[in-house]
Amino acid sequence: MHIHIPDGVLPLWLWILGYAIVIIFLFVAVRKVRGEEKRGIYAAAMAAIMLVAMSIPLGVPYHINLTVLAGIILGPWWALISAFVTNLILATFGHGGITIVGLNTIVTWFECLVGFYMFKVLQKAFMRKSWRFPMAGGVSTFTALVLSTVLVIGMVGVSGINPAETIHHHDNGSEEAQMSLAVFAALTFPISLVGAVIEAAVTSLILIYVKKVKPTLIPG
Amino acid sequence: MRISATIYLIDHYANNLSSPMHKASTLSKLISAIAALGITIFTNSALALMAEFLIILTFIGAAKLPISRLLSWALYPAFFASLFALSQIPYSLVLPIITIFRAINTALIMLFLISTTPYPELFSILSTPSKTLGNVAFLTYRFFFLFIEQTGERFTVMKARGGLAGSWKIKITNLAHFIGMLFVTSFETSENMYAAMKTRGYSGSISYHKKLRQKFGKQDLIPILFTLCILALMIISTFFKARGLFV
Amino acid sequence: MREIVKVNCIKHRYADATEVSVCGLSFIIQEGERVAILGANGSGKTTMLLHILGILEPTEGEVTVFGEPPTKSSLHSKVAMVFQNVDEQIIGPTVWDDIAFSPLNYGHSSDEVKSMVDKMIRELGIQHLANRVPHYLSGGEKKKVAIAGAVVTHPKLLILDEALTGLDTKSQMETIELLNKLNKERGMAIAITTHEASIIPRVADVVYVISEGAIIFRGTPLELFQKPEVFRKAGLEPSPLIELLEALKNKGLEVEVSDDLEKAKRQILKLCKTDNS
Repeated sequence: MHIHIPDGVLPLWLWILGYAIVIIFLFVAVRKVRGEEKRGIYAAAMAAIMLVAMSIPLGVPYHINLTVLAGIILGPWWALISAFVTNLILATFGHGGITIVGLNTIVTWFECLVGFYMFKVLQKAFMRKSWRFPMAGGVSTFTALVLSTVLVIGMVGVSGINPAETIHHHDNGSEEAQMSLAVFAALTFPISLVGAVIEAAVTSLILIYVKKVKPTLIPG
Repeated sequence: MRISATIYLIDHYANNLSSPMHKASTLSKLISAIAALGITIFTNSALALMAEFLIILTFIGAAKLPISRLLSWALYPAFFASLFALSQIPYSLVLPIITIFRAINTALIMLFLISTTPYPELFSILSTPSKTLGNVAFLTYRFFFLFIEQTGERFTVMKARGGLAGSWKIKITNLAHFIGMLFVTSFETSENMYAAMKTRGYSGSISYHKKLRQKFGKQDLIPILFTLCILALMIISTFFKARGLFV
Repeated sequence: MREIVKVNCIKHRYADATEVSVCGLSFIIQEGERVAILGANGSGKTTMLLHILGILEPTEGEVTVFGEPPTKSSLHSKVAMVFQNVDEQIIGPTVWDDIAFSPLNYGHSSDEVKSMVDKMIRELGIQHLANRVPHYLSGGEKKKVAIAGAVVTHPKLLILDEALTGLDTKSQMETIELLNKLNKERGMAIAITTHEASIIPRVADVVYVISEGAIIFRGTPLELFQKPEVFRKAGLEPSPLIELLEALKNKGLEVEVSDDLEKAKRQILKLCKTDNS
C-alpha cells in the first residue's frame, strides 16, 4: 500500500513526525546492517524490482508492490532502507508527495515487517506441507496489506483532515470528522481488500515459481 | 501510470538536455526547490497558487523541458488531491482550488528539479550522512535501467506468445510467473554485479564525483530567481490578503 | 617467463548439486602472455575463469594465481576481468565514476585517482564519454568503458570472457587493437575466451581448447589450425579457409593449413601456376 496523498493535504506535524521516525529507524538500520555488503546489493536490486514491477500492467487499476516479498527476502533492516529509497524515487515525480515520503516509508516498512515475521511463523506452522511457501506467502501478504490499510486510515484519522475543522470551530467538528473518516474508510477499505487479494495471489504464484527455479532466494 | 517510462524519460531529460538550469549546481537547485516547496505548502491564496503555477510552467519551458508531459505527470497527484477537494466543496469553493493547485505545484517543482538534475547528483547527498543509503540509492538507479530493458523485451515476447490472451486465471498465472522470472533474473544480475564489484575491490562505497562539488556561479541565478519569484508572489498575496483584497 | 596462473583439473559442485569440471591438460598463463581459450558454449571456459578470479572455489583440484590461492583479496589488484555482459560490471553513475571505482577502493588518494582516470580516458580515446551515463552508451562504448575500468589500476593479468562476442567488426578490431596495445606497452598478460576461431591469431600467442570439461589442446594458433580435427572435437567449426586448405591437403597437395588469408592466397596461386605448367 502506498499513500497517494499529495503534498499540502496532511498537517505539518504529521509528516514531520513521519520523517523523524523514519530517520531514527534508518539510523538504527545502517548500523545493524554494517558489513553486509552483499545484502546491500540485494536491497538495491529489490528497490529496482519494486519500481519495475509497479509498471507491469495487470489489466486492473492496481499495481503490484512486492513489499511483502521484499520483507521476506531482505529481512527487516534492509527492507527499511530499500523501502525508503523506493518511496523517495516515487515522490520525485508525484507518486506520493515528497513530504509524505516518511509516512509512506513507515507504511511500506510495516508491510515488509508483518510479511517477514508472519512468513517465518507460518512456514514453521505449515512445515510438512508441500505448499507451505505459497500459503505462507499469500496469507502474510493479505494480512500485511489489510493491516497497512488500517494503519493508513489511522494516519488520516489522527491527521484530522476534515474541511469542517478548517472553517467551522469545534462545535460540530468531531462528529463531522468522524463522518469524514468513516467515509474515507468506507471508500478505501474495499478497494484495498481487492488489492490485497490480488497481491496475495500474485505473491503466492511468484513464490511457487521462485521455489522451483531458485529456492535459495527464499529463506527457510 | 507507467512508472518505469516516467523514470526513463525524467532521466533522459536530466542527462541529455541542456539549459542554464541544467548547468546550475545541485545544491542551489535543491535548496531552491525545498524553499519553493515550503512556500507553496504554506500558501493559502488560490490566486497566488494559480499565478505560481504559471511561473513554474514558464521556468520549465525555459529549461527546454516538455511542458505538456510534465503537466500530465503532475495531474496524477492532482487526481488524488481532487478526491479531497471534492469533500471540501460543500464548505468552500476556494479550498478545493487551493488543494488542487498546491498538489500540482509541488509536483511540478519536484519534476522541475529532477528533470534538470540527474538522480545520482541528488543521491550523492544521501551519501553524506550514510554511505550505505547512498550506495543503495546509486545501485537502485543502475539496476533499474538494467532490469527495465530486460523486462520490457521479455514482456513483449510474452505478449507475442499469447501470454495475456487467455482466461483471467491464465493471465494472472502468466503475469505472476513473469514477475517471478523478473525476480530471479534480477537477483542473478545483482549477484553477478556483486562478483564483478568484488573483483574491482569493492569495500562498501560507490562515489560520485560531479556536480555536488561544483562551485556556485552565475548559472545558479536561475534557481535563485525561481525561488525569489515564488517568494515575491506569496509576499504580495499575503500583503493583499491581510487587507482583505485577495483570495 | 614466470607462471602467473596454473589450473590443474578442477571440479566444482554448485548449490543445486550440479558438478562441473575442467580437467585434461594443465592450464598455464605466463607473464606477459596472450592466451585464448577456445570452446563451445557450456564447455567450461567461464567456470575456469571464475575459479581463477576466486569467485568459485574448487571442491577438487588446484588453482594458483601468482603463486597463491585466488581467493586471497590481495590478488584483486593484480587480476582484472571484463565479463561477457559488461552491463553487470559497469557500476558507476557516470563513465568517469566507474573507471574511478577500483582506484578508490584500493585506497588511492583523490588526486591520484583523478590522474589515473584522466590518463586512462585519454589513452583509450573516450574523453567524450567521461561524463556520460552508462545506460546511454552503445555496446562498443560500454566494452571500452569496462576495459578502462578493469585496467586503470594496471593489473598484471586481464581476463576477458567472450568480450568480443556481439560486437560489430569495427568495434571488434578496435577492441583487439586496444588489448594488444595494453599487452605490448604494459606487459600485461591477457586471457580471452571465445568460440570464434577467426580472431585467435590476432589476440593470442597460445591457445587452449576446451571440450566438455577437458582441455584437449595447448599450442600456438598455427599449430591449432593445422589440426582441424581439434575444432570438430570441441564442437566448433573451423573457418571456411581452414576447411578449404584441409581439403586440398587431404588431396595430397602441398599446402600448410592456417587461418592466414594472405598465405593461403599465395599457396593457392602457386598451386594454380604449378598446375598450369
